[in-house]
Amino acid sequence: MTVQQGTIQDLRIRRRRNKIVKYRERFFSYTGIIVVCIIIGFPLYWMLITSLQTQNRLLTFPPAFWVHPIEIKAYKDVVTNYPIWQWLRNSIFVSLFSVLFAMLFSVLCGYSLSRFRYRGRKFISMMILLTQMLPSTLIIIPIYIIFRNAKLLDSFWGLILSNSTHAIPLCTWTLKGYFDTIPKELEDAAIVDGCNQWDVLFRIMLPMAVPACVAAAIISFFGAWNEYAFAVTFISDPQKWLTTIGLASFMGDMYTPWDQVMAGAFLCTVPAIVIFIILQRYIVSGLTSGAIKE
Amino acid sequence: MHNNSVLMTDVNRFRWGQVERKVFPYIIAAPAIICLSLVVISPLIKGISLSFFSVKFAENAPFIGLKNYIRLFRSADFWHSLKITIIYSAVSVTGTFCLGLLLASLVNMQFRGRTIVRVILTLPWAVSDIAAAIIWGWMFDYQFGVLNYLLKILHVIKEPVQWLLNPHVALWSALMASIWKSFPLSMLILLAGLQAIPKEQYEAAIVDGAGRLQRFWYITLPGLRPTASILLLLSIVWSFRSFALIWALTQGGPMRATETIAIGVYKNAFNYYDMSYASALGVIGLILSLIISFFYFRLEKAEKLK
Repeated sequence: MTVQQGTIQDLRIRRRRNKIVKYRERFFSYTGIIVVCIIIGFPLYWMLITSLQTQNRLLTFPPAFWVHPIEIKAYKDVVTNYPIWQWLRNSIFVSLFSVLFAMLFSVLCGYSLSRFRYRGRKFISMMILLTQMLPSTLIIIPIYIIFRNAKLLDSFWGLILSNSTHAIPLCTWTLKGYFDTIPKELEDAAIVDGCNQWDVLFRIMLPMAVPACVAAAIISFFGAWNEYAFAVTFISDPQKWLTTIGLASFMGDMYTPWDQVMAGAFLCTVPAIVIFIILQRYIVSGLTSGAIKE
Repeated sequence: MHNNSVLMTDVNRFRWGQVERKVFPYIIAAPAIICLSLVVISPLIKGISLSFFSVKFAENAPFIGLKNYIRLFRSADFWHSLKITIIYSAVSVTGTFCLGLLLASLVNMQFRGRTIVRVILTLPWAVSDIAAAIIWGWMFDYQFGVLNYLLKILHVIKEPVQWLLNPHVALWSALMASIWKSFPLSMLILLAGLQAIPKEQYEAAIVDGAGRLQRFWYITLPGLRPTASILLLLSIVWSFRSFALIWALTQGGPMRATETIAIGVYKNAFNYYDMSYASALGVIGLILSLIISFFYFRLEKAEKLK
């Protein structure tokens, strides 16, 4: 009897202790998560704050951590002083077409590598892997020369071509990995039903591979939207500037109007962030398909 | 007669179907391959060959053999650049990987608000390199930057730090910004890798009495190995390419403290207009990438044989 009573009490004590440990763990975990989010998100918060700050509170030391009163004059100024809307339009144009071509070529190539066995398949795989690993710093010079001769310099299409091509390896790889996980029986059933190969690809495989497509589209979109090195080298006409070139032009002046600069940076970043937030849940599922396992 | 023509059509369709099926994979892979050949492979070859000539922005270039490379190896700036590049790559890849792994493990756990946390943690990737450089440039500001202020009130430093103006500190400032910018991609890839590890392994380990650290060491790390190794390879190669962030922050300065090979190539090509010298520098960068890849594939082969 005494032994049993002791055991039950032990159990109760242990259970309560476990509960306390659990609560303590959870408290620390949540605090840790919040701290991490604050640290990582701080620069973006700072960008927003600075853009909404009034002039006299802008260049003060100690800096102000809160915005009061909120002033949107910086946004009005930066839009009047700099052609931000044109930069945004140009960037959207280049990025959308880059994504379009990158996706088109990658889907085709990924499907080819995934579903067919043919001579040269290994070679193509190798080539795709290797081009992924090349430093673009070396090829920027010859591409400059080639584009100059082909009159693709200072043209959006040259940039679109180079953006798409740079996105192809990673996108092809992601899509191939995802296609690999789709059972072949579906295709076989479709062929038996009389579909030709194009139908199988576009009507069956592609709809099934939506997460990987979205992930690849996001990757190529950001690659194109954030691209700077090629853009600044190829584009010389100020009318054709992209947001990255425009933002970079803010730096290096003797006097930098930080509130305007931050407002400009915010405006140029918002489209990318919005697209990202809408589509972000596809990224992980698109990448999780074993694409990484090679 | 009617039967004959139907038969002819059937035979034709059958033949075309055979040929088409064989050629189909080639056809659809072709656009991607053509693009890559035009925009990557042939410029690569041209770039390598360019390094053996002496081009000063003109097309008629005399062949000078290895003179560019000799000039490179003799220049102290080059060895300095090489050192900076190696430090930058090593620290940036390690930092990105560790931070990515830590936060991927965090985000992999189940808790309320998990999606919001994941979105916040991935935002640095959505911001462009230039915007990131601008923001960090402002935070690094000597007089009014918020970093100096925060560190001062936390009593970490006594004097404000010249983040971007002091040659000894500039590289680490650039690294800070760079790791902040690039860890989300590592985090996402590692998260995908983590989710691919079957839960049964963890459950079996818990039943066997394994603690958290043991579970991490014996299940998580081995399970992540394929993902992590390719991520590391890509991270290293991408770090050699890294240009926009450093350029916008410091232009390779102060006093070449942050001049990686990538920055050096750009400077020589488009500021000094010495394209062939820049190409030679670029070839060195290429050789570095190839060396790393070579070691990676060797290690992979060794692992496969195990």
